[in-house]
Amino acid sequence: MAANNYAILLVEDDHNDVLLIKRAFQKVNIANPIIVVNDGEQAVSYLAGREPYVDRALPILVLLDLKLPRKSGHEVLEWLRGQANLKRLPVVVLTASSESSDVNRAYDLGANSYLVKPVTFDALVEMVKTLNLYWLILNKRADVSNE
Amino acid sequence: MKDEDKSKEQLLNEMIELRKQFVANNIEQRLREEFKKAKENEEKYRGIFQNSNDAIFIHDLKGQIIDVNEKMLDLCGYTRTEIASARIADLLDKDDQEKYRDALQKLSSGGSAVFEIDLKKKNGETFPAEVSSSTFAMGNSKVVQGIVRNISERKQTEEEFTKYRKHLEDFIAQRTDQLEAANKELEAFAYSVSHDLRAPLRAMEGFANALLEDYAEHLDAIGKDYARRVVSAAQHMDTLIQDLLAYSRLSRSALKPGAVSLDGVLGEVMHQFNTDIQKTGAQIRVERPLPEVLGDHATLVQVLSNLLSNAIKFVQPGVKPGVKIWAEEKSGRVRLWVEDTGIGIAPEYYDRIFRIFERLQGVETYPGTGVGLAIVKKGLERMGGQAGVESAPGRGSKFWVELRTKGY
Repeated sequence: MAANNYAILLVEDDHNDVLLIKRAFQKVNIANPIIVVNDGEQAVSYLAGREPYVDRALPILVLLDLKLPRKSGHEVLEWLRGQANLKRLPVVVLTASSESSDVNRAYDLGANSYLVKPVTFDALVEMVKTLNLYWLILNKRADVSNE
Repeated sequence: MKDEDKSKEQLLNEMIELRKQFVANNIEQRLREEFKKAKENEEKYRGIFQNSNDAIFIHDLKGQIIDVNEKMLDLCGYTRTEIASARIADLLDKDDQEKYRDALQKLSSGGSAVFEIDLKKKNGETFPAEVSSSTFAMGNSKVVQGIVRNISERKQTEEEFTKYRKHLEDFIAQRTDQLEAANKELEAFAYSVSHDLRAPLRAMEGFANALLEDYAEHLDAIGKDYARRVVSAAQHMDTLIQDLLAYSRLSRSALKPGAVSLDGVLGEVMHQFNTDIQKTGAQIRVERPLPEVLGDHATLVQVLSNLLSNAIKFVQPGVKPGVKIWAEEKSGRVRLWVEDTGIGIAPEYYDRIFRIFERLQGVETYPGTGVGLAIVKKGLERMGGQAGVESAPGRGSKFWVELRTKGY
């Protein structure tokens, strides 16, 4: 059901950040629904379509935090790129860390982009605006299958 | 026979006898002389042999000892009579006997050989020795001569040296491990600071902002002011954390020193400050070309942007900043000057301003964290350079950084 596949999967454990990111999406008037999972294992379950996400629709974009409970963002990314049906799914890392070891590792594992969470809300809004323009509007997506 | 004949014959005999005696005397004389000479020679060489500081032994090709000197007797604890019936093998342990034979094998083609071997004393104790062996002819047969040096002390020194070196290596390895562990911990700490400490700041800033936007009608002027103060305090703390991280990264990361073009670095910095320069109307004059220095590019960018940012920031209100940048090169070092038209610094604060968190001005007048110049100093230290300032209140400041040129 490709028509339904326009949600964004936000993998984020900090509830304040979830709220602020959602608010920034509203400010920019992005219509795509945001699905939130709070740790790395949930992210894998969702994407794999395991319980309780058997009926899940695949997202068109994953916003992935790195420092997560249970499974780190890097681990999720590594798993994702190993899945035949999911490996082309665009993943934008959105994290607080600007350590080059984190950045390099993320790209090595196949991240499509790496964004550092800004402290000011205005900067976050600007970032989300650009993200929308580039990843949701301009970017030509590859085929990703549900199975 | 006539008397005359008889006397003639007698005379002849006497003459023969005399001649015999003369020849005999002569031979004896010569023999005596030869013998004396030989004896002198023998004494001379025996003296050298006996009094030599090195122990010497001579044995035949079957290993039977022919002669040893006093020193050799001392060294091995045998008497002269005992050694006379000894074989070289008696002075060696089983393993060393083979080693000795191998060493002598090499001598069969002539020349000499020097090797280390353990010699056994009469009482069974062994000691490390250095033996210089050679062969020579004695009468019709070939014999082996060995000059022995007791190298116990040298060996002991070597062993001690090896022990100390090992000890030192262990010590260094241990310290390196400790330092690496400490560094790892520091990295983990810095990581946690950058990641976890900033998360609540985002919430403070974000929700205070949300209050201002979404609940503006419920807030009076004072309420809005409070919310704005939360926003600006959160932003200030974020700058502080970022500066601290930059400072700590400077201390723990490995720099890659190489030839760096100051022109390139300054170009990058000027690009960064484009908006600030336009906003303040700053006049910046650079005396190009600037030379190359030995340093780390990223660190130099950080250092110069901190100096330029200060030069633009610390001016009297309403004054347009003027900055002049030039370099001096002498005896393998480059000194880069950044001169401003700012408020200046009294000499008693020259050292203080380079310390972390030190500020001379209130945050209200000149915002900042007190980390910028500490980064300058630390960065220069890590690149093997120096930083300093010449200034006076109201007369501007001349900050300088000094680095080696690339050739040195």
